Amino acid sequence: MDKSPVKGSSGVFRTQIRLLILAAILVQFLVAIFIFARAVQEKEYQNLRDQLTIQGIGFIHELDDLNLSVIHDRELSRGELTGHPLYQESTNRLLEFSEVFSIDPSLLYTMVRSRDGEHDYYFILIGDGTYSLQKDDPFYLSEEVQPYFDLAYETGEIQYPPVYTDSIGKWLTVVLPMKDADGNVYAIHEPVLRVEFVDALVWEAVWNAIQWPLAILLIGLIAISALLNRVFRPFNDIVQLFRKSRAQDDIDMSSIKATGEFEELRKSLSFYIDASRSAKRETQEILQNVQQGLFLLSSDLTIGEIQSTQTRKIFETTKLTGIHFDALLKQFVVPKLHEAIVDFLDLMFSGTIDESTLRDLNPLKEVECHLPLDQGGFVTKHLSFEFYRAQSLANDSELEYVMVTVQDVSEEVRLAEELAQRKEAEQNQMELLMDILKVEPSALNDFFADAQEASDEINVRLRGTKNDDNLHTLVNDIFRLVHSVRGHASMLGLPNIEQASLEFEESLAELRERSELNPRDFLDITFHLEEVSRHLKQLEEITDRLSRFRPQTPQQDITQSLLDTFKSLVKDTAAQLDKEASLDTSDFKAIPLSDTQRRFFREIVIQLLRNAVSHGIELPGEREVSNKSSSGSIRLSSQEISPGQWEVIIRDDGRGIQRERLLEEAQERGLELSNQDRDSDNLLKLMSTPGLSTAENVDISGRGVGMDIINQRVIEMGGSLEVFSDEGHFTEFRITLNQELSLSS
Amino acid sequence: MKTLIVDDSRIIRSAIERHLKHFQLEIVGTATNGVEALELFKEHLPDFVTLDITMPEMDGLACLREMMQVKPEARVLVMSALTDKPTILKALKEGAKGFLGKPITPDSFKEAVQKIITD
Amino acid sequence: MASMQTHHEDLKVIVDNTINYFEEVCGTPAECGIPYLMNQEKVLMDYSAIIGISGIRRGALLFTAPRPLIRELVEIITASDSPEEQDLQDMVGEVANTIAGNARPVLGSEFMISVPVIIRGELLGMQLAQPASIVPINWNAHQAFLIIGLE
Repeated sequence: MDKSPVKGSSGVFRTQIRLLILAAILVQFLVAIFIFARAVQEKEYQNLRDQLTIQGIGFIHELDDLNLSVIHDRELSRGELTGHPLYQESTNRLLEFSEVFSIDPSLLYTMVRSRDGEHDYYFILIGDGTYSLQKDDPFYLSEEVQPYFDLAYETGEIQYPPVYTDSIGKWLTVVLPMKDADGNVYAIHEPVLRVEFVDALVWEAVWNAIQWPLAILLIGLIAISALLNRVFRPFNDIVQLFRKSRAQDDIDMSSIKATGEFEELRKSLSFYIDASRSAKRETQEILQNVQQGLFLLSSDLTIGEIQSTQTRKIFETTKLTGIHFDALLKQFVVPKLHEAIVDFLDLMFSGTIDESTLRDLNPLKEVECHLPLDQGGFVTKHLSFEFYRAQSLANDSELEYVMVTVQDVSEEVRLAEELAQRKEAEQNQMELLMDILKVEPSALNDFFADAQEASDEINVRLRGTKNDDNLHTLVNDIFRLVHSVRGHASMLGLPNIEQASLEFEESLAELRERSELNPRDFLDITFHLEEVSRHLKQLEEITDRLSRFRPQTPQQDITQSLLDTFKSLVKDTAAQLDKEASLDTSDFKAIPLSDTQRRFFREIVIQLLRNAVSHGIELPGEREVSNKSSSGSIRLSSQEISPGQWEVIIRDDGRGIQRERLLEEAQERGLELSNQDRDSDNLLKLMSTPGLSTAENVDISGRGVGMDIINQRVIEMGGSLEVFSDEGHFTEFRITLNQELSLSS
Repeated sequence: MKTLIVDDSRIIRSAIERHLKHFQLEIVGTATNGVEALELFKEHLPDFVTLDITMPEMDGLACLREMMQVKPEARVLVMSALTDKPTILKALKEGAKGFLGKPITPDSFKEAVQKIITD
Repeated sequence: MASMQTHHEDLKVIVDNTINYFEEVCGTPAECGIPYLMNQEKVLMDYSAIIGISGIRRGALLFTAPRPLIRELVEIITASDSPEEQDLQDMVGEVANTIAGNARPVLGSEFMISVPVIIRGELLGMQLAQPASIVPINWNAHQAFLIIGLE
């Protein structure tokens, strides 16, 4: 990871800012000092002014103009005066000296412009008051007055602030030029004044003022920089360290330079950071690998930020943080449960009931949840939740969090259910087994065939009925069929089927009582029909398994008993319909069939025979008109046409299939027919077309049970079915069975 | 500690009475339904009540609610089949201090009572 | 026995919803035919929609209808003469969804339904919880089928 550029640029930036701030502070500081110095200066002047006692004031003209020769008649000549260094200096420096002429003392120390720049030049004039102008002695020079030239030695640099007492002052005789009434100019010798020269430069004042603060500042700066190095940098580094530790995991602790207590602090901090970092890492490990959903709920029932990876898998969503747990649950559990869980969590947080008591009341121990998926739809899972009060470390009076674990127990539940179901099924099978054992195998087979046929017939009738047909008749017919199944089951002692048929009958009896029947009422019938079929199937499966343990009946015997069944079936069915018919099985040869095949075969033949009697064979009177014997004849024959290839033929000498009507109807229904389809070979296709071989078809074709179903059964047992017919003469069904193929498979 | 037993089954009532002998409790009354229970409750103001939550006359929850208005500090032990968790949770929210799932065994009963009267 | 009782009551609710749907949406009521059990016959017509059902009942609900019926429905609803293929497919899904969805308030929210899967024409290997009940729905001289297979 390359992080140096970021660090560098931010560092430079920070340094520049710091320099700028420092410079600004310095400038401000200097300005403050300057202002302070001026204030000090002003104050000093004020002090001086206050101390001054102006007893008289004179003015100094240009020294040139002073008629000093007159004054110093004794010792000083003009030449001497002009040659005097002070004179020289005065003329050089005080060019505009006259401009300060004023009796206002404040003006005396107004800045004076001289030839070599600006000076503060103070004239402090102090009159001694001992002398006054005397009429008789106009040019009197006091003895105390020092000679003029003395001045030369007394001026010069002075310290700032000027101290009055230490200042250099000289007596000066001031000559006032005056005019008399006649216009004569006199130089009037004024009282001798003492002039104090106080000279100071502004920058000196400033320098004086700033010396101490500057020294303090420097010392301060040195101290601050020492502090910065020793205190602030390590502190800053440590703060940075904290900041980084939050953002990233791989910081180098040794990069921080610190000494003394800071080193200790750094060590402690790095210890805690290491600890928290490794704790964080461990937490991550746990959250990623724990095989449960794991998260915290806060007291407002929102889901916390930390969740185990499994949590999101279990809930099929990544959006969990901050979601209300009750809102989440609302989506996938039943409302009553949802209400209970809200109560439960309230109690969990309230802390009035102890945790172990509450845990028994957890309403989400094992709940079926329907979780919506992001891509639509939903998935059903069995989830098991556990809730724990999470005692906060910081505050043990208020419960802040409840920890929730959730586990997907779908598989366990499924296995448990499966086990329970299997147990129940085993129990049922055992009972069934006991029931079956009491029953003769052939009688049982007869029953299956009858019951299956009855159930098929009911469905065919339902399918073939239109709303405006007589629904009561339909109910009655179904009732009769169910009733016979029940009687049969009761006789054989098969209580399960008997019970199911009884419920069916009761439901039908109820429908029969209604004055008006609505098609939707027949949903009850489909339901019961389903139930009876389910029981039949169960029974059949067990019979099948059982037959393996029963002593094998010789093939011949089985065949014979089968043929006997067929014969009596034809006879009985015919009798029911006031018809006469017989079955000729002389050409039937035993076919090697598996148990399942045999049952299928039996069903198929029974249905075809039934159809033949009820729809093929005409009533005796009708037959006589067509010059047929009053008793119809049906022939069942079988033949091995090639090794393993068997052909079974069922042929009746009845009215045959009225093909034209069948075609017409098919066309009306929009079935597309090619010329080929019109051949008799394809009669079966016509008869088996779904949606066509309904009751209408039944009438046309003269067949009772849906041909598509029969055809389906033939295919299921590994054979094929063909139909041939000559209208008015015969109908022939030809079943071809490939035994080699089906036996090997 | 004044105790009131509320249960619609005579057998359960006598079983509870028998089990309660192990504790220092003064049984002030037994009630067979919610209305009767409330009357006894108002009369004796018991400290401890065992309350069957599914009873004729008055629903146990309603009964509990009224008891709590009369004497909120009374410790009520709610008894119900565990299958009806939502009702138990409601009862605890209404102020019951504990619950005991049915069927009751001597041990579970003792434990629940111990917990509630010493708490 | 109680659950069995609700079983065909559930079916009736769904059938009633279907009848009502046509009445509400098109003004002309549909008529339910005599129901029967589904065998191995092919049942799918031009447009079909299957909705998975889970919760207290598991299974599927299938609504299948011939193209003219769906076309007429779309024309009535969108008031357009030339519905597009996508409209027809959406329509059949919409019918199935409404029927199943409306069953929820009656059958409870525990009755969960999936989004419909639309099938155009026949589908091989279609699986419904066997056995299923087929309810013919007759409307405006067309016949559709409602096939319900519930555990």
